[in-house]
Amino acid sequence: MRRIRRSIIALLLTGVIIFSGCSRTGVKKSTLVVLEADSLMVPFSQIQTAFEQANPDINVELQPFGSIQAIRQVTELGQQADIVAVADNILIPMMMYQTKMSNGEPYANWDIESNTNQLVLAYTSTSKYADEINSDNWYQIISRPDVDLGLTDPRIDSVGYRTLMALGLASAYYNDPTLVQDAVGSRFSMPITSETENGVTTVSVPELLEPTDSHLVLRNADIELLALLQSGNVDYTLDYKSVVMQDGLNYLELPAGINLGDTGSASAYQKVTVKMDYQRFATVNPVFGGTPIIYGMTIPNNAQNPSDAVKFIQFVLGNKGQEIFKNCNQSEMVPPICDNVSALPNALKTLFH
Amino acid sequence: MEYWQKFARTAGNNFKRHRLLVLFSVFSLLILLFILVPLFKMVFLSNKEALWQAVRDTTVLKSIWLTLYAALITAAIGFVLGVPLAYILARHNFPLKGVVEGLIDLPIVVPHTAAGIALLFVFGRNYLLGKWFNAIGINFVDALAGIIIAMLFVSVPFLINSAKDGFRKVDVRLENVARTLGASPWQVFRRVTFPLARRSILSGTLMMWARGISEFGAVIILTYFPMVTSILIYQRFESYGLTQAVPVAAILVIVCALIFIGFRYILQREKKHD
Repeated sequence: MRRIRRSIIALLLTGVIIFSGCSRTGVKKSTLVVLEADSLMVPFSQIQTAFEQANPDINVELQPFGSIQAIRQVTELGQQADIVAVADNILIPMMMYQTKMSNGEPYANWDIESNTNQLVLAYTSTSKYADEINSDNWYQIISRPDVDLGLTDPRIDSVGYRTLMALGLASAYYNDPTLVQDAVGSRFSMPITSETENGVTTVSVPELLEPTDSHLVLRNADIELLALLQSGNVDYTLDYKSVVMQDGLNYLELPAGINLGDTGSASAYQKVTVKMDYQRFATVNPVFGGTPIIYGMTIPNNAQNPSDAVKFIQFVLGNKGQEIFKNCNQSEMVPPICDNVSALPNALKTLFH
Repeated sequence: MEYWQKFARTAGNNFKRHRLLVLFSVFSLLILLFILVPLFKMVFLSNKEALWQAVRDTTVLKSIWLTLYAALITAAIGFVLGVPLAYILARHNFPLKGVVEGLIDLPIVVPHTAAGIALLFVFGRNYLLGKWFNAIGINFVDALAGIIIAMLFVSVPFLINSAKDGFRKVDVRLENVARTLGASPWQVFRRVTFPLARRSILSGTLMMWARGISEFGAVIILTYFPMVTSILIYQRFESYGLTQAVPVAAILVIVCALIFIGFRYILQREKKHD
């Protein structure tokens, strides 16, 4: 018995020694920490593979979060990330320029925008009324009392407030002033309301958001709603086209004036605003004006490895990176945009002229 | 001088004699600090005003109450269904018993989001059990029943394992004596086996309850509303930031500390009575 125990210990020790030796003799790799929006998981994991092949000395660490959470990891929890990439470019100025690090500097002071997406209505073949849905009646079908509609929490996730934007735009587009209330608003104990004044629709989200109708299924992230869609507990939900296609679900394309995916329709999207009625919203001014879906990324000012982060962004904006994005149905913006070129690292400045 | 030499010698001897205890105490202190410092820091360093606000916030109180009683119902269900299994595993041998025992531990190691999705694909409306329950009006999405099955799945192994160990410790000869004195198997279980294993079973039930209270990943897949406290903390963090999330966590920690210290105390007292 004792001999067995000894040999096990010896074995473990040898293992430890061999492993520690490995890491010491192997190539010294630097680590690049990327906090990414959930909807970037698929393209970024492909980019990771290609990027690491091209840069064998860099080890990319992808950490997916909801966009707001990704930023809070840095600004509230003190995580030192090298890149933050979110599904809504607005969030970077909103949450990172205004929050200061201990030395008084903001967490970031520039933002690069290179890719878009669009909202579609996801469903499956077993969804109620799936056989009759089309781009003229979808908003009526999702409002039917027996249809289970999935909604991503607008307080937590970009898909959530963008869904409300799309519904607000649809209300004007289909000339149906009660569309927002019928589809989602009146299904909560404190309703989500919408009001149109001077052609601008304002959708207001109350502080307490608790569904009273079992046919409205609220979740913190769109991924969970897609699981519920597949299990038959949700009939329809609005989500990013790329994510829906990656999951192989059925979807209905929405008109360009509603789907937030057409950068040329930016002025039309301004006709909707989503306002969170919070009194205690600590670090974010919770008013989201309608804008096209544009992804944003930055290198936080407290990044540990900014030089590799620059290489990663160059790769994302380069041919290979954009080809991956295109194959993932997250179309590229030509040319990419930066809101503050003078603050960029020199190696990135050349990309914006 | 002589006194100090004597003192040093006795101290040295004492240290030699109690070396084990001293060493173990140092290690114990380290692990205790590791557990307690983060919790204390959360409770005592959270913004007083926000903490006071949270104490009076009905959403927070309702959520904590919901979490406690959902986990309690879960523990009760686990007790009814888990104790018989624990008894069979402790007292009987059957083919593939080792496999069964290994499978019981699986819910502990499976990532809890995956556990939630696995449950959804059994209790979801498109699937058999979901269809049956739906027909009798029980829904598992956004409902108490959803919270309970999620908690049950991830926490019942704690009860089964603890009860199994408890039953194993009961001397079979005592049961046999009872049988020869004319007790029925049911009477033996109720009067002899169960009372002797009671402390392990209670402690397992308590562990199961505790594990249920803390569950997040599996619950959030099935039920976002009504909101259990772990989800409320997450939601507060996401929408308001740390200052609003920490007080909720602090209150949960305080409530649970009181409950668990109370229970340990009762269990301890029972031991004295035995």
